[in-house]
Amino acid sequence: MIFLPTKQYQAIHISFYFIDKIESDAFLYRFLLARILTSYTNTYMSKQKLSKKLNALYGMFITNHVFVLKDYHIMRFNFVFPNPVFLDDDQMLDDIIQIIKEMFFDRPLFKQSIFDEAKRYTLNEIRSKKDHKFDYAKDQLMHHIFLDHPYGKPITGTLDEVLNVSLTEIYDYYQNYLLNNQINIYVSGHITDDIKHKLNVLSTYERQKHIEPMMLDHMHRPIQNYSEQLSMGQAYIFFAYHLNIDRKHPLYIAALLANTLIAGYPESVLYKLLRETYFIAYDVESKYEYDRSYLILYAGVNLESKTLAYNLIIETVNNFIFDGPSNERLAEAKDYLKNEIYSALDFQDSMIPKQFIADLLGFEETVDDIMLKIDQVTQNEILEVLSMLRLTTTYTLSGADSYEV
Amino acid sequence: MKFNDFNEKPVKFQLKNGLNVELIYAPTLQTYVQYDIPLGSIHERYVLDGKTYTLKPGIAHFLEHMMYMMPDHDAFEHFHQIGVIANAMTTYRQTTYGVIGHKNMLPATLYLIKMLETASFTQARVSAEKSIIGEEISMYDDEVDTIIQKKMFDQLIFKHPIQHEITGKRNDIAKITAKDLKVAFDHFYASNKRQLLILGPIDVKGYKRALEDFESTIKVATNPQFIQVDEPSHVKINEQDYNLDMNVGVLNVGIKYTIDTIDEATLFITEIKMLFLMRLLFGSSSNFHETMTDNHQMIDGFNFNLILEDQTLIFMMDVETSAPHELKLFVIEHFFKIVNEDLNQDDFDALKKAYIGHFMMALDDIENRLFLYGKYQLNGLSLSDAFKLLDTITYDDICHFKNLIHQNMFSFSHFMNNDQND
Repeated sequence: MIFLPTKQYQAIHISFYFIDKIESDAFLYRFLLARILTSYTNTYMSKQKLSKKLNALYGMFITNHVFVLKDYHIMRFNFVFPNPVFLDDDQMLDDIIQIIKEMFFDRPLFKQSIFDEAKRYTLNEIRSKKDHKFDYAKDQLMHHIFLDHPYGKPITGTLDEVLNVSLTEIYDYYQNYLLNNQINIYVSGHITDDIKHKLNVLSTYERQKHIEPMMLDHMHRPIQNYSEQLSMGQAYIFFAYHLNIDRKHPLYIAALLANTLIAGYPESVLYKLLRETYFIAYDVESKYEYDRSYLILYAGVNLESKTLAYNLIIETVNNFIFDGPSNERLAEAKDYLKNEIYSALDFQDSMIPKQFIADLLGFEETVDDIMLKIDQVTQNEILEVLSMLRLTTTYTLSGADSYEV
Repeated sequence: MKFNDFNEKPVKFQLKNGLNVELIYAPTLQTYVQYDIPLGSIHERYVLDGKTYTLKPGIAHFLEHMMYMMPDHDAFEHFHQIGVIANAMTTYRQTTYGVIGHKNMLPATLYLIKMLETASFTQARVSAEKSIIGEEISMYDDEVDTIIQKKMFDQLIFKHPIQHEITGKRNDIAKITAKDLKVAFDHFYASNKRQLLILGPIDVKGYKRALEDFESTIKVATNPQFIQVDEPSHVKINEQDYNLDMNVGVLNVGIKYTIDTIDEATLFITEIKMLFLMRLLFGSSSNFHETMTDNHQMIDGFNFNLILEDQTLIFMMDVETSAPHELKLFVIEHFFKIVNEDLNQDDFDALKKAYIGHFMMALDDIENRLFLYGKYQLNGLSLSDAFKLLDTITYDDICHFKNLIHQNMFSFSHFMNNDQND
């Protein structure tokens, strides 16, 4: 159990991580379980009863996040509540610990009504996907990049899988697999000795498990271009570049900076080009997904200019790969990246995820180490990173020629 | 329970140019600078020096975009050159400019003030910015939540500027000229209500000295007075069906409630009462929520949204459902039940605890805390005032408030799914 003490905040965050290897057959089970487990407990036997209890615990809220990261499928449950120290409430923490224990461990067969509700919710998530166009576009892009690899599968499972899943299957998965996951627990906030002592009872639930690395090799495919139409007023254009630099690679920080320079901040080459030279986009960004070895560019452009924008992005990135940044731009990007890191450290929500990823992927760095590494990145290293970019996939989701809300 | 706005007491003073300044020491890694202009998207008419002026919809947001254009360079570029991050946003009541960083923060602050005292609006720049703002509007228009909200505004509102959206609509911004921008700039960017808030590990005395020495181009602060909007109290359309391209249907419930005072404390209390009432009746701990999800009438819980500007309170709650018309009948029946088991003292007490807890936790986000502090202050309240007001609300207040809500204040939007459209 990892405690991240800080006196700055009035809330305490407790995160439970359930970690397993990535198996797309289990995606649906895990997505459903995230909802079922947080819906009720043995003491609070319905969503309503649990919700009333959470209100009484000064609005404690529970979020769940189901995602894949590198070789792992991860379910994160985060419990957030005001620090009892500021409320003079001695009973509160005991109640919270009891809820956490009952939520995850020693559960009898789930209630059919809760299982049905979770199933309906998941079906709705899948059916409404196209109503949320940007999320839909991101899912489609992942599918086009990774095809049958688990990274390309929807985290919810498929429609057919949801329609056919049974309560017994889910319960079986919970008992025989989920409870055997690696389980890590993190706590952040103003943690007194008394709070630490009480929370330590949860540490008996932690488990370690050896998880085999997963194979991922997609960069040798020829470039694939996809386009699709929905009723919408813009065109979302995505470019996916393979970039084989992971978190421990010596060029990792240089890759972060390359991402910043391409479309990661307002002075980046694509932002300046599309927004401030051609005035055809408002939203321009890039994201370096180191765990999947991809750098993804995105621009939301007006319909009439989608071909122009598409060609401009290809040409500009190709030129940038060849030329690299000036010293001045690189210095600016370094400052921007440092500011992002410092700002995240001022933000309690980022404390646990940051530490969790460091522990999971096995690296240890202080803030000063990172800042020093940023300072040391050279123009040549940026050029080296840029030379490793391989465009594998483009995807455009756009409206038809005429569209009106 | 004690509540403080900040651990360290803010150092407050006013510059000769009328800018209100607060310096707050805090042991954060970054320094957060926030400059608030008391001009937002709902401001439509005002009086200055005895003359009445009208603002075009979207002009506050347009100004936000234009302010980074200095006569000979781009201010955004300058901020990045000195190693800080700049950002801005427009809300219903204010435009807020921010700078965040860990170095060069005093020069960045002084430059921000200079930028906000410099108008450089050429027609060519205005035209170019219209294209970018047009794309911003298109981006929001593609979001289903925006569409649902816009339709409800159309049903509830006759003329209140809330209906124009913060960005303005495309045809609104097409009408904005460089001259319009300059007038709004002259009248509001020199307002005696504008404020500069700085929080971080700063040398308070050094900042105070530097700010007091700043050579401002504003010699006299302005004092524009907004004219209240005369919005009818009744809703425009009670009910409307929509056949859009949607895969899952939605019911959106709107309530329009007019308040006969401009006292900020009363407005704040009314806002909280409405939220308490609707959460007790329709929130995730209500019988309504439990029954309707068990009966498959709604898929997940309601999303709640409340806007209170200028004495007009707009409450909205939307939920995904395949039967919006049936669900609407249940909503009405549940709200107007004479004895409603969802409205009881125990649940009220628990909900109040939840609000107090959420109020505390929301302030852990430094930027959010500074923004709320500035927002309440512009409206004549402090964060601690708001906290105290929240603490005074009683169960009887909520019951009494419920009796003030009548069925003719409701409006319903029914969004059919594609199967139903066929």
